[in-house]
Amino acid sequence: MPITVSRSGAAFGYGPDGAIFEIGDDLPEAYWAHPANAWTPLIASRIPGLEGVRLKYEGSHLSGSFKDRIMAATLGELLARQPDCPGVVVPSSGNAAVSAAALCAGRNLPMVAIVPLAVPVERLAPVTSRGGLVVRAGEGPSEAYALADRLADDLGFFRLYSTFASPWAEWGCRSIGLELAGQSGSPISQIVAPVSAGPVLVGLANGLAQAGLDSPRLIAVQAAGCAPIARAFAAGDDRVAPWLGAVDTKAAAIADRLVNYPQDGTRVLEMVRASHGIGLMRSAMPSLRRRAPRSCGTMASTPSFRPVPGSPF
Amino acid sequence: MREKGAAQAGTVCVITASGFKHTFAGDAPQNGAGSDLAVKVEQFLGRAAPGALLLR
Repeated sequence: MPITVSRSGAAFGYGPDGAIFEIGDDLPEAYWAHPANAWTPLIASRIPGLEGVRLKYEGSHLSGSFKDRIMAATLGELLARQPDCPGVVVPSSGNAAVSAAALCAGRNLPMVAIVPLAVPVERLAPVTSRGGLVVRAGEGPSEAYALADRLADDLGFFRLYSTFASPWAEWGCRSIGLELAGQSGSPISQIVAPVSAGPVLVGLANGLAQAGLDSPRLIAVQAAGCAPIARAFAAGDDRVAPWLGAVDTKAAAIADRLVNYPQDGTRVLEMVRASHGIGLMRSAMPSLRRRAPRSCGTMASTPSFRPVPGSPF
Repeated sequence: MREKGAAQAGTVCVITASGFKHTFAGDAPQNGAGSDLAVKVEQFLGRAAPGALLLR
């Protein structure tokens, strides 16, 4: 279970034995209700086989991904405390870097993104065109985070992270749940979302709680080629272990081994189990329409997955 | 974006994807390659991560 801290007391990093800090204060309206924060649309699915499902389209943010929620909340809190912050380091598989570049450019804040070598150069053009530096290194997110730690120490820069090491990541994602509470108009039975380290799903659930709604079933979807959380769920484990085998998926953005921070996965596992949800492993194939949940529900994003025999999906 | 002289207080610009592509002139802070920061990052990579590449 996380250690609850106040908004003013929140700090970067983990606690004793890797404990996760979670901000007890509500996400302020300035981060979600203010007109400057355009809500992402909740779209009724017209896809055959997905009747009754609604899609929370997180591609409509200014930089194209939900990372804007994390970056806006984190930079807002950081710069309020430390207006003379010399710069930030952003480990990323693409989206976080693009989002951070957009927000840092508007604040004249130097930034360095660290991305895995597999991220296409074209994907990084929005970062460099906004004045951000990009370092390409390593295989996946875990290696990017490890190098980012060292670079941040070397430069004296702030760590602008999307894992639970940054308590503002999950806090910022609460805006998804708060928006859903205002948009849905009918009960939400379950949430399906792709999960990497997990702040998006946990933050969404905490946002619904902030809005006074019960948590629906949480369904965490991971790529079969790198699924530490779904594997632990299937095995009945209480803790998530890092994924040390080969990574075999094209869904690189969520292929996080969780090396050095498996407690992030354990936090997701706890939330999924508490909601009577499930963790799923799926191959990255565009066949979502054939096996998506058919009861009235909401997808926080549009993971693509292939059916597995015996699965309810 | 290039014709800044046309802008006045109270102006609202509608930014379509096409409009952005054809008018954006790279009006962004320049922390990029060649800056002092880039030099520091390259020095760090040389010591700590020789296999890493600074994108240029």
